Amino acid sequence: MSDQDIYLIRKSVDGDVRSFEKLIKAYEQPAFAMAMSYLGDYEMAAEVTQEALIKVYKNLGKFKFEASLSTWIYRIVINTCKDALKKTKRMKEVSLEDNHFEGLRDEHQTPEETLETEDLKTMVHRTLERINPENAEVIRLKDIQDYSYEEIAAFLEIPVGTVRSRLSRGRQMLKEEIVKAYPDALSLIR
Amino acid sequence: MDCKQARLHLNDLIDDNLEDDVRKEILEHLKQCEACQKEFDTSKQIKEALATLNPPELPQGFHEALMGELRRASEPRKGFFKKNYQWIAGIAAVFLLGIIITGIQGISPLRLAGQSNEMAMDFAPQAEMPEEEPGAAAKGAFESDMTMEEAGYPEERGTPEAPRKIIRNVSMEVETSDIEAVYRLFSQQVVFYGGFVEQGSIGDYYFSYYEKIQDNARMRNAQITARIPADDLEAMIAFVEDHSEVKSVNTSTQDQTEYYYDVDAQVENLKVREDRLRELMAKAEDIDDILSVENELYRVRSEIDALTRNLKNIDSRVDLSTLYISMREVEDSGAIASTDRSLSEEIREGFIRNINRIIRFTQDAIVYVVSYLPILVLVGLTGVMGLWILKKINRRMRR
Ligand SMILES: [Zn+2]
Repeated sequence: MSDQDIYLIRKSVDGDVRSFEKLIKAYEQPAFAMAMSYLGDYEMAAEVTQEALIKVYKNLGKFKFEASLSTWIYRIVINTCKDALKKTKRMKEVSLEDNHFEGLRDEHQTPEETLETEDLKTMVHRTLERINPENAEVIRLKDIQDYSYEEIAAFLEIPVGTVRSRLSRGRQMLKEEIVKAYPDALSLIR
Repeated sequence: MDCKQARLHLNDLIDDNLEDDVRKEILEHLKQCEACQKEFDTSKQIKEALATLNPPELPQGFHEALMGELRRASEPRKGFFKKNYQWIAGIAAVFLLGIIITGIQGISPLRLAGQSNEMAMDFAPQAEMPEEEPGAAAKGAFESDMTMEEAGYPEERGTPEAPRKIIRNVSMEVETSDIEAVYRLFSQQVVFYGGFVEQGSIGDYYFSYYEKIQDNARMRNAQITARIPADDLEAMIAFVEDHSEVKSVNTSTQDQTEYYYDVDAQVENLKVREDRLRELMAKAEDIDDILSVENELYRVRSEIDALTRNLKNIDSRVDLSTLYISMREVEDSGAIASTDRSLSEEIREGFIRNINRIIRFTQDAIVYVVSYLPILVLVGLTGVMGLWILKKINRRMRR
């Protein structure tokens, strides 16, 4: 960690928002991306990311320099996402329309393309929600967020071997679920 | 490689985590085995579909909204409750301190005397910035016997074309919780501005406040005397303010314009005189004349050199402001207190602190008792002896 970072942390702990701004800037987008992969909802992800980063600010005094700052921040983001998911779970179960991917639509695509990718995205993401959450989480971090096995292990505070096995199991489950839920999915994917 | 092994490595193949030779073997197998190839393709497609889930940019205005929230979040901390809470804690601490000091004072006056010395050290004034008066010395040294008319006093002094000669000195007292890093940071920044550290030192342990004496924590101080291009002085001060807790800033400005151009004129005069003396020297024939002119020439040259050094010194002090930073290391407690520290944490720390005090107090009491033990033993023995003698006398009397 650079001297500059350490200083920004100390100043932030002292309540200097400007220093925190400099410190956090680089983490905003990845944190949001992470929240997005957990929550799937654009507005909710923005809200939860903000909540998480405020938590980071308020708890910076407790940061002990044991992990890297990024790992520490992402842990907070992940935990905030999990809390948010718990809170909304009941509501979700009641809701009939699952329109999680409204925000994900890429406006530059042609309508046909949109339709096809939309189907794929929706299908995969919906299926992801049905598999064991521990495995799904690792898939999200690896396949959606593209973090390394080591980084994921640090975020979740689990051994790398566990990351590997959860990923393997998760992918297998995901594949089976897709085949089960969408019998002609494979032909569609191909 | 068989299907079982190939399936085992499928994930690593998708994530591209395989050694070259293993990958080659699997790819070889996939070519021959349709089932495994299909499995691999499906997994890969799913992974690719997942990758497209990666969301686009941050929502518009996210950063601004976050900063707004943070500002709002950081305000209440300095607000009513926190302030009051600190007040109460402060009063309680003063009370406790008073009780403990009186307690120790009652028992062990020697120890307290030692402590107050250490505390006095803490409050000793910081070394003042050396502020030599370049004018005084130079003016005294230079008492020219030359008159103004002799040399044609330059008229341009003080006119708008001549740059003003203003020397700026700033003295700052700052506190930080990480003195080594701050010392390094400031030194680097000085160099960054094109200046240099004229003098710097770190060390000189001193005892912080009372509690720290008890916990035997040693805090350090450091000084930097830096020379910074005048134009960057303000930026450097801001930098210091950004990276440490500034306790005091002292700015002194010396306008040396008049003095500078005065000396400058005198140098010009002396140079004219020097030229004239050289002419005289060339014409002189008498050995006595030569010697006296030579003497005078030597005196004039020395004066010119001295004054020129003086001017250069002023120029350097004008171009490079002097910044004196006195740093003190302080406990991080202030920083921790400003975040939302839970009440239980505060209580816990306070509890530990006070337990430590009780332990110290008990130790002091034991030390006191033990140190006076010889006297107590002597007094006790004398007492016992006295009683024994009294008893004997009593018995004899009864008999
Ligand atoms: Zn096979």
